Amino acid sequence: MTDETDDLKGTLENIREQEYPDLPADLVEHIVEIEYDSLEDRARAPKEINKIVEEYLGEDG
Amino acid sequence: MLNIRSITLEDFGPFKGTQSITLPEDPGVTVVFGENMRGKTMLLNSIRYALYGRVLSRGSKEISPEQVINWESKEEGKHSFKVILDFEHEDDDYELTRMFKPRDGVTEPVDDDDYIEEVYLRKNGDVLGPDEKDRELNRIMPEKVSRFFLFDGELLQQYEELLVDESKMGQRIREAIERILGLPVLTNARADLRELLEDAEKAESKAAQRNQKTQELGAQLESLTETRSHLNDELEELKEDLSDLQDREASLHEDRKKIEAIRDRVEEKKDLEEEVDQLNDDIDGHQQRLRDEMADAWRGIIRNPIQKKLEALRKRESDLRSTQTRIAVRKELANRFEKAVEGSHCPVCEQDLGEETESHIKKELEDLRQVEEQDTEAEEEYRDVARAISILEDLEAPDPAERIEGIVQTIDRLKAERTDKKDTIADIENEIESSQEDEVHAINREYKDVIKKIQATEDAIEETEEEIKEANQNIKKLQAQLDKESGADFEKERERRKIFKHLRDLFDDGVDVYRDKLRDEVEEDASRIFLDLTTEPEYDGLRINENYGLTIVHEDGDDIPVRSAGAEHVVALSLMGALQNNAPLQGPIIMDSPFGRLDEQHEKNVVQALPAMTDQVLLLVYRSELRPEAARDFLKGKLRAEYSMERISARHTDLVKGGGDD
Repeated sequence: MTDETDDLKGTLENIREQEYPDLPADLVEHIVEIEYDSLEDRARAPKEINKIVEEYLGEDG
Repeated sequence: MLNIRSITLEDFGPFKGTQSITLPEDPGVTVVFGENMRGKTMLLNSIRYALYGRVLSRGSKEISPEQVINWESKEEGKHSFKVILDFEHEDDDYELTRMFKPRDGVTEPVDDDDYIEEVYLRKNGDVLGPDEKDRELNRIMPEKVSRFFLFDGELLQQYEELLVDESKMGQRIREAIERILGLPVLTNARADLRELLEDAEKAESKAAQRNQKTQELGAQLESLTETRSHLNDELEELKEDLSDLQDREASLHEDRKKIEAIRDRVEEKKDLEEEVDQLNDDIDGHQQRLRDEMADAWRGIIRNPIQKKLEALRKRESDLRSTQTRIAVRKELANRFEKAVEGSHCPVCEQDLGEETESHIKKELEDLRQVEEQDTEAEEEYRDVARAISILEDLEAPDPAERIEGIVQTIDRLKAERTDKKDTIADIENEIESSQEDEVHAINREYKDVIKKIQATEDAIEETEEEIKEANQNIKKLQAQLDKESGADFEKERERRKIFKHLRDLFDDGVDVYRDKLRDEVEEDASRIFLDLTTEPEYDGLRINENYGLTIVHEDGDDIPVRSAGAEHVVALSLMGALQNNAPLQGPIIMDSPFGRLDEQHEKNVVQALPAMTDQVLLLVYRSELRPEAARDFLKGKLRAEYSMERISARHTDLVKGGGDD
């Protein structure tokens, strides 16, 4: 999976750096991984993404 | 990566009994040599059948499975066939079995309804449920991109579809290519983040309502986000409907192309039938005129006698006219003589008459009275002749024979024309069965219906998108107002909303950027492969369009607008190679008659390039297309196995390992 999503992550990181620097890079990478693993189980991805965002918001403050 | 280990056939096409091909584990090329009509296309079809349950003939027309059963086995009472595909994908072992057989209880099947198809997929030894099987196969090798793995050299028009930007089929293929290039990860993320953003906005509005200062704003925001949520759901449904309709349109478009010849004949028949109806009306009209003319035709028969009689009567009338003049003069004279005798006075010279004169006048008058009777007879005859002439003139009519003949000739000509057209209609009816004609009408009707529905759906989508845009603008205004109000109550919801918005926007941008990046990479790889394959030094590479269609670029920068079937081959192979390089979805390339349109040098270039395109290549060729010695020379260590299709009978081919030489 690493090889196949590296390209996607790279593209998103370039955009994040320029346009959305406040977004944490690892959060974005984690979302890509969740979506890749959920290609066959679409209902799973939104729940997982929500969870990691909540965790991030909890840590942030 | 999909890696086929073996293909096992049982009474499939010309392959009688159970036969199999094993593909080597090591990367490389397997060549199957088979002359024409030995079963190369059926071997390609066996893989298509196993994966998708379809068998295609030349022209990509689908063949009924019943026709695929080996004929000799059928004669021996066996009415079934089976294909087993043994393969590996991402370290999992699969065995896909698809069979076509009579239903339970049917010993002598008559038509398609007497058959049943069974398919099951084992993954690492376990049989998958039907839904899981379908999902798995769709993930491993979606049918829409199968043309980039199962290459039929005779069906190049499939690749030409990609060249047309507006082609619906091209758009469908583009979506399928993007799917295998990994774009769904981003598009799914974008969709999920949009949903999460909506939830966050709703949560924020609810939280705002708990605060007295922001209660009103919160309520308005909740109402707006709710409305927008419904609109988004509606938009989603409309887009799904549109996608289904476009798939259906693309499918009907293909059906219409396949039946184009029949469709033209059906249209021709319809036009001819309308012309025959018109001819019938014309013939009826002329026949009525003929009847009208014939009602008076008897006048023509008596015309000559009437004319002769009239001639005679007119001559008599002319003679009698002179007599009438003389009679009139005599009458006038008699009158004057009478007056003169009565008054013994001449009315002309105004003199009294002497005795002698009076006696002379009396004598003249007597003579005149003597001819009076004759005069009366002459007058009567004159009147009779005049009356007879009048009567005969009424009966006289122009000769209708010419007109009647003209009408009859016209009717004959129209009837001959009608007969020709009816003959043509009969020929067409012999060519096409009524079921085919019904099919053409049904397809045309449905196609028109689908086009209308697509337009209506596109209009509805545009309208809904406008409404969503308006809702978004209003939501943004309200959120801006809310942002001015501080409050711990909804600070967290605000932060959540903001982060989801940024994430959504990031992935939105990511989809566009990645899509362009993928296309650029495919273009670059396809160009590189193309330049390795082509022998034309003035070509600079390939240019890609929205649908992954490729055009050849000359070194002066211009596109090469038209290309030969040979060039199409090379471009299609370049795309296949580029997709294999860039896709997370990779698999074998199976090629049927790939070199038919290529010269020797191009053939060599293609064969040598194949092992670099993908790990597993299966080539189905005839010996004069690619000589065994040439294959060994071009491929060297990359040629892993050879098979040969040996003729046993016209309907029985055996797959034999090795045997590349005659």
